Amino acid sequence: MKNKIRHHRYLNNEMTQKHLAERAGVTRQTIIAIEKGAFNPSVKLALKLAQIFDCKIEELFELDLDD
Amino acid sequence: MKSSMSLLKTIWLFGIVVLIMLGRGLPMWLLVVFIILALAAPLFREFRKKTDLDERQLYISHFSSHISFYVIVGLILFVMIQEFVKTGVNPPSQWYMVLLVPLVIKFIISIFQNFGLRFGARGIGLFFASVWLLFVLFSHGFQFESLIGSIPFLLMAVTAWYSKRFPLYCGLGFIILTIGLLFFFGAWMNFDIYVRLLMYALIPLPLLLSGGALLLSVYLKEEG
Repeated sequence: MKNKIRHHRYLNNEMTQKHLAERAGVTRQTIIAIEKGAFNPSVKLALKLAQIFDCKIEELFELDLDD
Repeated sequence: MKSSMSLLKTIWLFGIVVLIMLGRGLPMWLLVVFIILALAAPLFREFRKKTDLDERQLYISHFSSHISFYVIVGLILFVMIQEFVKTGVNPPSQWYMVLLVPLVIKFIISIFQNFGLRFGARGIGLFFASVWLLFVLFSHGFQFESLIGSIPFLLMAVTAWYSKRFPLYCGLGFIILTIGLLFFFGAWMNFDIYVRLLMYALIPLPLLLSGGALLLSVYLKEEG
């Protein structure tokens, strides 16, 4: 699954991973893992991230061709 | 801010190693209390309602526990085989208990998680009833004694079968059957504690959990 979290952090005043993690209620390592595509978040966490960036979940995550 | 799991796990593992190394000098009761506390601490952290672990940390914890479980099973098998090769006789019963009880627990939990309380209870009841029914009939042959011995398992199968329609009565039936089985198999009291634990895990425990699950499904109004 691809994601645009890095892009959305940039759009949101270069929000740090630490700040995003605090707002989402997870660790910074989890944000790093999601950004790298090493961990797929639950629907709940994905929705929370979309809410933080004030965008639709589809704008944040999209399926890879392999998925 | 969520706290780091790695640091806490490292401290925890270090604490356990130190406890084992220095524990020999402690009074036995104190050592047991320390070991129980040390083993329960991560469970308490993970299962309390407002856990500070996030979903990725929980995933890592569960995945590593899953792998560790199979490592433990492998190690137990290794010890059993070594014992057999060394002595030429079957390993003592405690090894069978240590090997089989966690596997039974894993089986029961996965059935309940997969099928829900009501269907899980039904499946577990039917599975254990069938296994024990076949065991009694094939080990003792189709004699009068084995037919008498098979009655509890026939009752178990019938109760499991009707649990879909009558979960409340069948749940109570399972619990009554569990209590009855403890009297029916009174001879178990002559076995050593390890064999007893193994037998309890293989017959009354699944029955009791199924009964409890059926009653809980009625209380929670779970769809049948």
